[in-house]
Amino acid sequence: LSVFGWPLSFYLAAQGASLIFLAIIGAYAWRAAVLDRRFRAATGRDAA
Amino acid sequence: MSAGAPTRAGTRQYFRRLARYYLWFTACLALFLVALAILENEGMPRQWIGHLYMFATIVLYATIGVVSRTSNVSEYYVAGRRVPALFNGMATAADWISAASFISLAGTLFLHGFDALAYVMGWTGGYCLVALLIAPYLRRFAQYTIPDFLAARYGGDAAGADWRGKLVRALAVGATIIVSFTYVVAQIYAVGLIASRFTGVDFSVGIFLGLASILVCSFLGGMRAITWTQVAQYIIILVAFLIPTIWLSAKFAGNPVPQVAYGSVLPKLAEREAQLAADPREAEVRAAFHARADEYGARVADLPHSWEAGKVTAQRRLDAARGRNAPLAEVRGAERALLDYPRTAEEAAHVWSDLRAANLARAQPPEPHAEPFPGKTRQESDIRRNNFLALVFCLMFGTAALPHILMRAYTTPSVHETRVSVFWTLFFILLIYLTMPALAVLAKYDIYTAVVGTSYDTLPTWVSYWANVDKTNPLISIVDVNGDGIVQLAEIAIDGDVLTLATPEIGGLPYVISGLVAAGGLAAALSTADGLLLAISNALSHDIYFKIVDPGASTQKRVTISKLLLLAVAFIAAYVASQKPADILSLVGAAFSLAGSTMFPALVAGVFWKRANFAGAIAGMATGFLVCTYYMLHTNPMLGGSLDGVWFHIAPISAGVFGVPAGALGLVLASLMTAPPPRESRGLVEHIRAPE
Repeated sequence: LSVFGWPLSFYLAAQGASLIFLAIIGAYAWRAAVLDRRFRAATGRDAA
Repeated sequence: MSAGAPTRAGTRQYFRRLARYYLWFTACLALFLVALAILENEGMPRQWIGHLYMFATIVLYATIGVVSRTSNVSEYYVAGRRVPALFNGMATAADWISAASFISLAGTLFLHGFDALAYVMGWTGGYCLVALLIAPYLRRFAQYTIPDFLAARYGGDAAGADWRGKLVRALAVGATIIVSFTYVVAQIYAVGLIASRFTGVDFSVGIFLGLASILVCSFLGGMRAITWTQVAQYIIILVAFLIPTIWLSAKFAGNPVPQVAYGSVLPKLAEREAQLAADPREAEVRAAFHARADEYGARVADLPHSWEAGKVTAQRRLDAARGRNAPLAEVRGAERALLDYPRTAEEAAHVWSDLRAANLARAQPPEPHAEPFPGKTRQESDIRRNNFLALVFCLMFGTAALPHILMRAYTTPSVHETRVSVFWTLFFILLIYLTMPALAVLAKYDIYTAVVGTSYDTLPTWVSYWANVDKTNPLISIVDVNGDGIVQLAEIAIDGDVLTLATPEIGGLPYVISGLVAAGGLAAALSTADGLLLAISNALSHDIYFKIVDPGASTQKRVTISKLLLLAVAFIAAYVASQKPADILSLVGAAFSLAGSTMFPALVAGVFWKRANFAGAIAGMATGFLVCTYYMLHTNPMLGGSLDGVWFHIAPISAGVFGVPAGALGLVLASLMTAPPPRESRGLVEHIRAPE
């Protein structure tokens, strides 16, 4: 299978997968930070 | 948070100051490169450039070490827990990018095509596990080492000071040492290789030069010094890798972004591969290798007669050469042939089988680079796919259990910063890793078109240069097998290590850049060695000495003991590396399987399963370790096993694919069969899961 003349399977294994991993970590860190902030607001604690 | 926690404004100011330092550093590096380029233009010899790089970088690392020297426990073990996420990410990336990643990975991708992408996927995917399952919880726990966590979680009380805690701690220390030591020997070995190839000094001298810089740095300042050195080393690694690759990409594909550029080269490469696979002259060379393989096969089959006959022939040839007063070179050659002749029939069986396999390998047509899992039959292809997946699995779980990487989760100011720091780690690793497959494809295309098919008289200079660098173990060798004066692909034997090192010359860049690449390789090896040595010596000094032997030791004494142990471990590792142990070097890949099988289940269950208890942890670590070791011993020919014993055709390097589930199963079963853990352990789990 190829997209725009590039072999998709190779490209996914070489770059796509790693970029997805990076996105997962980024999304997790961002989401956890939001939850942390909400928790602090809810418990009325000052940001450490 | 610890006492004296930095205020937010203070942190920001600290970050700015660090950023300023490293920007200055990068500017100085650029100036240094320009100065060297001018000097080379003026005719400075290559050897001098090599020496200058080696000297300048080692002085740099030592200076950072001296500036960051410390005897404070918190500074020494966890860099005072105030490394900003961005810099912690850079340091972890340098910690992670070992000599194998920097020097060998591009070569592995070059040689094995799609199969080698397992390394890229596995090594990056491991950070998902680190970020989601382990690192933030370790930071919340806020102690010093990985065994600290396991001992506190599975011991009888929260301090992990009873006999149970001590046993768990001792097991974890054992695993840490086995894994890290194999790894550090390989790094120091690489330091010796790079130093000897680029500066012409003796291999062992190279090792001890490298060791000196590692020691000044980590000995004086522990985690604090190695963190700041690693950031500098990462910058060197990045510059050293990207300059030649971008150049190559702009030159061959007309686009300076290699990741994009190689997409257009891939189809052309596939075309060229198909052409070479069908070329009659290539077939001729492959047939020649096949004939050689058959000859060795016949000799092996005819043992021990063939061994005796061969010995007599070699002796006769020497006598004949001496008898007719042949030229000295010929006599020497005959003498060497006799000396190198296998001493016993068993040895001959071994040597000849290896030679047969080597020749057979070279008799194979080139495999399509971009095609996943090529195989003659469906089954063969499936086996390769399963091995690919198994390797990805092992590398992921191994990465998530490497002590020197996890240790860095402790050094950031907060849990949030730890999560962000893992993001930056993977980001900085990807800057290099995403370029590797591109570099491999670009270099392959160049070699397939510019070297293959040319005449032996017009070989590019880099080929002859690199063929002569290491006489005993040539990095690249091209021999005219069929005697037609034209280079055929099958006539080229390349050691994967040469690819990164030779990239500047393949692209026609000046020697300054080659020296820079060598300095990058050195930085990669040294930074990883720094982290590993610290992991080992911390395990010994903090976990064994302070927590088990002498809990009353003063902080001053703890740091001193740690420094002395670091010195001892470094010298032992350097000594082992100077013996060039082939078996240890081949086991580095296996270290991932071992780390994953032993530590991963206990670490993750420690965070996510409150019911996991002491018996479970011991059983899990022991089963994982034993299953993994058994499989390797049973199947790895280097360790006296045989490939006939493999389960589901899984290669020995992926032993973790059995070890990790076995360890997890052992942990679950043993936990369920014994009493639940004490309230303290559950309290600890709740504590590390709660937001800050």
